[in-house]
Amino acid sequence: MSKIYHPEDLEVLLREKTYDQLVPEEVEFVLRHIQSKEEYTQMRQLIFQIEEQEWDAAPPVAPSVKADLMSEFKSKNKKGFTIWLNSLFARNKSHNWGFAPAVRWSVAVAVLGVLVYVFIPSQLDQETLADNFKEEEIKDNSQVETATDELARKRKTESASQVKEIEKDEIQIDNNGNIEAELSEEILEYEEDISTAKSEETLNNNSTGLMNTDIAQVDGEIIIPEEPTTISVSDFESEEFLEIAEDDLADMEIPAAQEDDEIGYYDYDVEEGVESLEELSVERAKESSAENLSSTNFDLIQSADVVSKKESNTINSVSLSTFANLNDLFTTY
Amino acid sequence: MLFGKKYQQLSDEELMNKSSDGDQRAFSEIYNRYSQKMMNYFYRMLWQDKEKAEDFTQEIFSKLIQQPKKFDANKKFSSWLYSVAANMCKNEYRHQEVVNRASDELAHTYDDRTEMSDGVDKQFFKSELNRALDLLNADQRTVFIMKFKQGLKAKEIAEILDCSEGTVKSRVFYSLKILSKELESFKTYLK
Repeated sequence: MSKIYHPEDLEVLLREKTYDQLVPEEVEFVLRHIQSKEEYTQMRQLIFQIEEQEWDAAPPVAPSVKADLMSEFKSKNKKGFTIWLNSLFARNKSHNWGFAPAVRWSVAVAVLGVLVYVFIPSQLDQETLADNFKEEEIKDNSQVETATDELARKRKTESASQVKEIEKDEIQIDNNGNIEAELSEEILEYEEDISTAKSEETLNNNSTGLMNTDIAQVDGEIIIPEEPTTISVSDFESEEFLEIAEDDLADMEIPAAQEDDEIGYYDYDVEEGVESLEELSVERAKESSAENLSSTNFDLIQSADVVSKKESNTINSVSLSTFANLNDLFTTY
Repeated sequence: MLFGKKYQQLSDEELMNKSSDGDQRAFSEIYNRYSQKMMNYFYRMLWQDKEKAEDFTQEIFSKLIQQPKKFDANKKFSSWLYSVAANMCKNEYRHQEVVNRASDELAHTYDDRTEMSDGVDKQFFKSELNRALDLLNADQRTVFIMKFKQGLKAKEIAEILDCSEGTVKSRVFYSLKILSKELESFKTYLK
């Protein structure tokens, strides 16, 4: 089986075999490329000679070559602002292994911070405002209720004291100094009434009263408290207040009052919710009050003012409010 | 020292990638590995002209600096570098007629010297061999120098020159045939 030779195989034959060692097929192949045995032999010797040849080593590269190249490299890869940007947006990831991610994270954190600063506080403010508005609304409603209750309470308590004063006057008028013995008993009853009212007020969460600057709103109408001072049930019922009331009672003497003397009487219509001033005699006023008190619920009678017609009376006007056992006070007389 | 050891352990291709990214140490390591090889190559290819060989050595590394992206990552770096060097030499051969002129002059000298071939020695044969190499065409000379002076394998030369391994062997054979003819007067020395 003959082997197919190529020109490139000649070098192998030249290295490995002398011309005489070639087989006929190889000789045939060699002679197609080499003219003679001598040439074959000469080429073979040349290969060995070349391989054995100690080639003159090239002189070493001058150090200046490397120095020049390194300076060229430095100038070519000079780091600067452009390199900084290239690092940031480097196509080659090996360039931005740390810097670009750090910048990206910093930007992300900054944007997040700005968003938090801009949006979240405003939302909190809105929520806070809404909460405050609700609280104020609730507070306003409670104040309106308080104002309403307080007005009623104030009138009630004022009425209590003034009824007492009026009754004292009436007692004095009616009996002309002959029933003083019963007065102290009535005062004691009045004080019991005050205690009862106090208990009721305690159950109603101890109203705090109104300042003269408070403005209450009921059914869309603005109500300004009548009295400039703060009045609370507790204050009204304090011992100090009672002492003042008793002093007032002393000042409220109407020595010359007669049954037919006319007084201003505020009649309060519960259903209509209005007060009307009527001029009645003292006797008629008492009768009217007694009728009202005996025939209706005392709580429905809110207030009544009695105006003394006596010029000698130092107190021109007192407020009269009904209270629980006002009926007893009147019916006694 | 740690960095130096690290760079010495890197492959040519890794160093080239680092160098193209501006790594000065990588470039320095590449230079240390190949500068003398290139010097030798150019020296032998360019008529043992030291100055020219040095210029060409600097030029080829300058190409690496200025145009690192031209490095074909699919190729072995050494093969790519030799191919660049071979092309540089080819261009040098083309743009200068030194080869032919020198060949003519040397041929005349050779003829003179063959007459006194009996007294030749090894050193003289070396010089004559170098002269004969100039008679080869660029491809043949490149292959011959790569094979016999640079010690590259036929496979590597084929990769550098982007040709088949058979082509390389064929060029080697015809180079030997030409040289043998040119150095015929040394047949007594060769024997």
